[in-house]
Amino acid sequence: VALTSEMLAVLPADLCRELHDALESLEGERIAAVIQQVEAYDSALHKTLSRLVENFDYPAILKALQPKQTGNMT
Amino acid sequence: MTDKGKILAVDDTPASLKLLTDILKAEGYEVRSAISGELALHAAISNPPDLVLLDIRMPEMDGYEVCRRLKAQPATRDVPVIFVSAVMETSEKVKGFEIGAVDFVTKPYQRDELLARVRTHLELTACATIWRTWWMSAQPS
Repeated sequence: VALTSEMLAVLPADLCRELHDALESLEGERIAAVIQQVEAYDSALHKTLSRLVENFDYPAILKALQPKQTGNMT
Repeated sequence: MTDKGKILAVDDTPASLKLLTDILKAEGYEVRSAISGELALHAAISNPPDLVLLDIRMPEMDGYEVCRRLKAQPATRDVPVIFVSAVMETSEKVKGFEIGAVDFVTKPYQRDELLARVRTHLELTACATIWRTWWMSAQPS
C-alpha cells in the first residue's frame, strides 16, 4: 500500500510532528516508539508505516507528512 | 558503559543497509541508518556521529557529495568517513581520499574486516582528539 497524506490525517498533529522529528533523527528506538503509538489510532496505517520503516523508507513517510501546498498566489 | 561509539550507516539499498546495521548493532555500536544522502547529512549535522560508513553510488546525492558536505561543516569536519562500495577503481579511491575519507571497504565485505576497520578508525580518532586537547592546553597563552 502506498502511503498518502490522507492516510496520516487520522493522527493528531503532535504525533505527526514527533514522527517527523524521529524519522529525521534516524534513531531506531525513537522511531519505533512513535510507530507503536499509531496502532491505537489505525492498525492498518500502523502496519503500512512499520513496513516502510523496516525498509528504511523514511523519505516516503516524510513526503506524506509534508503539509499540503496552499494554492495561494502572490 | 553505553558508548562503544555512534555510527551513521548510509546505503540506498535496503538489504545492504539492513546488513550493515545488523552487523554493527550486534557488535554493540549505536547505529543510525540512512537510506539517502540527504537524510544522512541532516542527521549527522544535527547530532554528529563518531564515524560514518558511506555508500558511494546513490541517486540524487552520492557518497562523494555527502562526504564533501560533511567535511565542509565544523560540526562534522573531524568525523571519520569510510566508503563502502562495490565499484573500486583506483581513481575512485584516490578521489575519495582527496575529499577526506579515511578508508574504504569493498562490497561484498567480510564482517570481521569491516569491524576491524571501524574499530581502528574510532581508536585513531579518539587518539587524535586526546592529542589535540593536550596540545591546545600545552600552548602558552
